[in-house]
Amino acid sequence: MGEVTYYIARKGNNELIVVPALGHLYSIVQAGGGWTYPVYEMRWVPVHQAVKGHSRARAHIEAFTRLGRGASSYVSACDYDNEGSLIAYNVLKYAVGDNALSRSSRMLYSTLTKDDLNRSWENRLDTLDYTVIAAGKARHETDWLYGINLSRALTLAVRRASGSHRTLSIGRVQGPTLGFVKQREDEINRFVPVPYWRVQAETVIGGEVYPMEYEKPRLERESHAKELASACRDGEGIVKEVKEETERRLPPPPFNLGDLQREAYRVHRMSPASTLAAAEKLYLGAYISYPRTSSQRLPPSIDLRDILGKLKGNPDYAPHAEELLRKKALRPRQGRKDDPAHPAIHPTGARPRRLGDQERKVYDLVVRRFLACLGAPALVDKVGVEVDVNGYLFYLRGSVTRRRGWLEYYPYMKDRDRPLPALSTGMAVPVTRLQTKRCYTKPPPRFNASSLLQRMEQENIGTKATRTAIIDTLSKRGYIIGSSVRITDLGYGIVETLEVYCPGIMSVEMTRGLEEKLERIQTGGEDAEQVVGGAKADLGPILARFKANETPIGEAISETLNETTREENYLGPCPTCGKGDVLLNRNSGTEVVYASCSNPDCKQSYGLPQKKRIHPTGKSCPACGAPMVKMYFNRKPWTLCINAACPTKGEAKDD
Amino acid sequence: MTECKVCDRPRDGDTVYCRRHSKAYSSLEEAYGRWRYALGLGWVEYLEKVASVSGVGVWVREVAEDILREI
Repeated sequence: MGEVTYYIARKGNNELIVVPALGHLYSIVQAGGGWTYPVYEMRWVPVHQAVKGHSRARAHIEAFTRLGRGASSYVSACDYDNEGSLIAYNVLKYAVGDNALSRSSRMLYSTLTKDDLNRSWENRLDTLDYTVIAAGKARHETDWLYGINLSRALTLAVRRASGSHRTLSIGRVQGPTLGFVKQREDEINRFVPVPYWRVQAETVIGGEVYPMEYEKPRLERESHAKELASACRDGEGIVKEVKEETERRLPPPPFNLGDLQREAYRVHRMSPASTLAAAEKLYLGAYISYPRTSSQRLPPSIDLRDILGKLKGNPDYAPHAEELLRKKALRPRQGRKDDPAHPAIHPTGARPRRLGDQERKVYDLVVRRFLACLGAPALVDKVGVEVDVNGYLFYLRGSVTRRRGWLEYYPYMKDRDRPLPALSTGMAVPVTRLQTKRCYTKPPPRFNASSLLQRMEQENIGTKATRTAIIDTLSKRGYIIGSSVRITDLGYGIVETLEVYCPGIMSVEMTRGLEEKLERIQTGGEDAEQVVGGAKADLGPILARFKANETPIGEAISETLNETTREENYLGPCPTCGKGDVLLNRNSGTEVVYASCSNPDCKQSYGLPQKKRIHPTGKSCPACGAPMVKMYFNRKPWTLCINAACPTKGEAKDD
Repeated sequence: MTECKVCDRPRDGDTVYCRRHSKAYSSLEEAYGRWRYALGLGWVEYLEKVASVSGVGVWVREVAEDILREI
């Protein structure tokens, strides 16, 4: 139908018409006019009327309306989560009509395999899943309330302070998340490294070199390090005690989304967003179960033997699947976290064809983790030998894996054996090398996308479905930058200003509290309308405080914005007057980009190519002294002088 | 004078530094005890070492250099 592909199928005596949605087809807008705040009244409208770039939604909505008109009943078969349930509800309510809701049922499934979908059809709920819908709707509404009000407040404060317009935004979860990054940057900026000394010693037994560890990993005083060195260097140790134990290393639980994203980052340096995108493709191909899950558990309803039987057909996993199938009972290692809607991420057993590089990596992680969680614990024999060297206690440590168990299935976990020779009490052990090394304590590491996601999870802000997008938004807004996440001057300025004048926006506790209430709606523990009403009530005093401090907030952020803009637009010193700076400018009327001197008495200006990203180089043209910039033509970088009248034209292509 | 001695931000209360550099100064003072225990250094020698050691925070280095300029 027009641009929309839909499917007609038969199931028994029923004719089924299957129409795909396109994500959310409806969105929230302000009810009533006025670009101001506070705004509390809202309504749901087709997404193409609310957000730019959603023009295809119109055709899908029209398809639902036309095809839904003659139907006798309706089935919501979107993904089983808040978002999926809400997508279907809005389509039925607004595109088909309110009457459709009472004739609707809900399919629940965690994989897109034929068996699972058939089972889900047979066992579908008689009605829509209204508590899940209410939870999804309340989340959208509270996020909209916070987002629209705080963003408008920020934008208007800056506009009133500086007269210039720049759209700024901050959200309910964005604020505290940005706060984590700022807090870490503060810790790094005010970090004082402190010296300590590490003892590095070795012995040779039977011609082999073994490291010896001093009982204290670090010495805090130089004189102690020197005393130890003079007492132990070239000395002879005596074995005081040999301790042996077998460590039982349990298999890891199966992945939930956060675990998978962290592991993909650790093993393959894949960003959480890429991991999620790859996992969703695998889910849509029916190769793995639904990835947006918090669960680390595989319930008894999952037929583990069936999955292993299918994996046996894949040569990459066949030996391990066969080995596991020989076990009398399959008991997966279960994690602590659960999810009411979905089990942990697991393979369906279907053999994928032609996966992209990232999907292949994610698929292999999921399958091997699934196999590992069914494996036996690994057994590692460990030996610790206490050696007395002139009154100082050292250790020799060894380990040998006696049974690899699950480690056999999961090559992403490194385990290195370090065997020790047989030693017994009273034996002499020579110290063949000993040195003390001065080290310094290190500042805490910056967040990466994975550790920032983990911090959000630990603080219980955002959801498994939204956290990745929130980090992405902070980056797009120019508040954070880099894979080793740094806060930008703009991000810093916003957090610092809001912490002083409007700390409620940055409150982790408030965000977490609201998050917990939103979660409880799904299980019937909270009423959605009351939660949204409560969010409005909480927002009131925050916005009132903001308004009361609008001038200092606007001034502080404008100053940061001016500094940031100036830094971004600075091309170099003016060669004409020698006093001003040459800055990039955009004519607000014609949108023409040009460069000019900041000195009001200097009339120097330069025309520039339009619709090109211009990167400052910090260099001046050797011929005329005008700034050199880098631009891309047909994806090739060119460094050139911006002065069209430059005697040499100053043009040189980068290698 | 109401500006921080190191940067042009407003001073924090009755200190000579802004909030950022005040916190850095506190960190410097806190860490001095551990440095003195470790190496037996005096305050000036400590500041000289801290200002050049790898991993020191930007604000801490700025404060250390500011104090050293005054001595």
